[in-house]
Amino acid sequence: MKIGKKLALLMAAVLAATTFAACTGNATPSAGGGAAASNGAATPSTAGTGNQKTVKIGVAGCITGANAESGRQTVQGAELAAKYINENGGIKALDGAQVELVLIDNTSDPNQSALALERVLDANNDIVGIVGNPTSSALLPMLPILQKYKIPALASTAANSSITEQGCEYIFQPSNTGGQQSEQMIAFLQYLAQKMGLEAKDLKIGILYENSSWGQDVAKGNRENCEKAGLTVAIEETYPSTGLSDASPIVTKLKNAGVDVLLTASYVPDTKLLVSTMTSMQYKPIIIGSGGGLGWPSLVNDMGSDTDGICCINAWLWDAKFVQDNTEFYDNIRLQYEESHNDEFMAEQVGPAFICTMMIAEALENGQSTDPTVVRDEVMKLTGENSEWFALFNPYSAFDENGRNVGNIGHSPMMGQWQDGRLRTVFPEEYASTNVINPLTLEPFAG
Amino acid sequence: MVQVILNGLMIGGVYSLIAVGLTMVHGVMKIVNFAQGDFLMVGMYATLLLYGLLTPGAAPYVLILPVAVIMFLFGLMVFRTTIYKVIGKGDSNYILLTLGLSYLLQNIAQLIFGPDYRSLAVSNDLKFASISLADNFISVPRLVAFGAALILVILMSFFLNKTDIGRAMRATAEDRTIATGLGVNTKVIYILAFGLGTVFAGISGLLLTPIFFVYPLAGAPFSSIAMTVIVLGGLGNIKGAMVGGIIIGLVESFVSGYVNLEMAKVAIDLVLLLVLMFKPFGLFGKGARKA
Repeated sequence: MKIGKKLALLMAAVLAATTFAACTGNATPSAGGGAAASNGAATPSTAGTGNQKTVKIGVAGCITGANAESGRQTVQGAELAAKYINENGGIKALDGAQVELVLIDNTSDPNQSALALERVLDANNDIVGIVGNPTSSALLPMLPILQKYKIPALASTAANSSITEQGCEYIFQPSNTGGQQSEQMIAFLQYLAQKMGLEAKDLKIGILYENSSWGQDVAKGNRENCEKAGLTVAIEETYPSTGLSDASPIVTKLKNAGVDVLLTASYVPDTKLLVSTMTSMQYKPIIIGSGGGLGWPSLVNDMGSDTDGICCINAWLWDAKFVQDNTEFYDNIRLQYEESHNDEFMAEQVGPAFICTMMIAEALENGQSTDPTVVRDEVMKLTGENSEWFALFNPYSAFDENGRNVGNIGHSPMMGQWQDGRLRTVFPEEYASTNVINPLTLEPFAG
Repeated sequence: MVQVILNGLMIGGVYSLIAVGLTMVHGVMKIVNFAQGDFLMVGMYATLLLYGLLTPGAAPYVLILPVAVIMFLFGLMVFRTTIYKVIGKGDSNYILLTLGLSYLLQNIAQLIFGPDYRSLAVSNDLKFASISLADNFISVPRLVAFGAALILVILMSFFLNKTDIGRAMRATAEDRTIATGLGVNTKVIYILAFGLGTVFAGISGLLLTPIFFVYPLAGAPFSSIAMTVIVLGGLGNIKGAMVGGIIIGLVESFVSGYVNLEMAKVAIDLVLLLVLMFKPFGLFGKGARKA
């Protein structure tokens, strides 16, 4: 056989393998961690040792595609939890059944999320619950499928407020909504202005967001909360959710409008472009982001100390005081994670995926059943008081009848600020792990 | 206003750079490579890997030659194993092939490098460097990309018009059968054209590494815009790709600056539509296209 034909055959084989991997979710960002991670079409396998029983938990996310870093974080969080559960005797109420993760990859395309979920559920009728999808735009199309198959899903960090208003009885939103995020952003802005000796009402605010369901939700909240607080919105801009190829026009507009404070909702690649373009145009407003790109480690890996001072509201922060109170998590599990990930702190979607997996395990323990309906009922009963894991979202956590965490309203989310290469909790003060610094001068505030 | 023009010129230069390789491959081989954006991504990863040999903080531009060589060899391999087999076999074959190649490259990159956004340890002094003109700023990495696009277009025009191989490429582009009859080894010309197109994509990738993250889908945002640029400028016309890129950049900048970014995409399509209404073969097209 000629060398050309051999190469062609090899490339065809690789194409088939990688396409199959992308379609089924077998393209695991990191498949280690002691928990078996399989795709929807995988043959039943055991996790851990011997021929012990297994329970399957689905992990839905953008595992491949443009937003795959989000998927990587989600899978790592779920793997960490599965490893922890399996190493500590599995699900004891189910004879030590080991947790097996089944990946559900929407390829970062919201139009694919329902199809991907249905395909995996058809192939795995023993899935007891699902972690994710952490992005709202991909989660919303999944809701009718969850209802049809009666499988509970814990939405991790998905923040769109309409998620729990679609009539799906099997969805839980343990984190906060975009509206809560924007309320906290404005509260923080007023707190920060006071610290800086400024009058918040005198500041010109710019609202910038990607045109997705998450971005729209956050922007709507920002607009309404600014109005409520009597703050001046000088400019509001959106850009396609497919991403930016150039941030210069937006930055020019913000600069020309004299924006002092920028409230954003953007993912990592767009955030990098925005911040680097601002820096090269010698324009430095106060930046307060809403999760997504501004809070992920890849930003600091790229920009280093230039991220210092940037603020970002987060669905979850690794060093909030109540997280530190859970010593098993903070001193053991978190440190293990950092050691095995080049000292990278647990990012916004790692922690929640870990917690959601632990909550499903807790529901299995409490319900002593793998029936997804029982799991759903048991998840509904969890609160920040009776569940050490749910308390990692917020100690006041509690679901309402629609599955929304209403207990954390007024207490969550947390504001993070980049300081020395890590996103630290700085607001509200009751949960802060360190003091906020001046985002423009990077100096600590007196007193 | 000046800043808006500068923004448009700089991003236009980036678009031109990516489109030049694409249009050259089309000009000679009459195929549109839907994987051109992914070749750019391969160039970014090649730069990322080679950058490990440099001192952290160094400018990646010194890697142009090794990246060009790697990309030429990569183009050669892709051509020999896949593209060569569909030349002259109809449009649907190469469309499916290059689209498949695009998915293949994205997935291979993800399998090898993972999905994370990576970046070169380029010094922030370079990454964020800018030249100030009164109250207006030009980003240095973008200026370098713009300058490189200009130089490469001039060099390519010289190569095509003043060298024997260049003339042979143009002859092949006009009519493969006659070129073969005149003694031109069209197989070699195809290899050269495809290889050079891949080199352009790779160099574009290198020049963009200080500006953008390196990740498996890094080339995707540029694929569709490069298609628009080459159709606007005239398929197969290198000067057209340069001018088309600048026009698209300026339209995007003006509409983004004075209306909004969402409308910029609409405006670009509108401009393309208007140009094709009056110049069906693009601004510099000569009516010989077949695609």
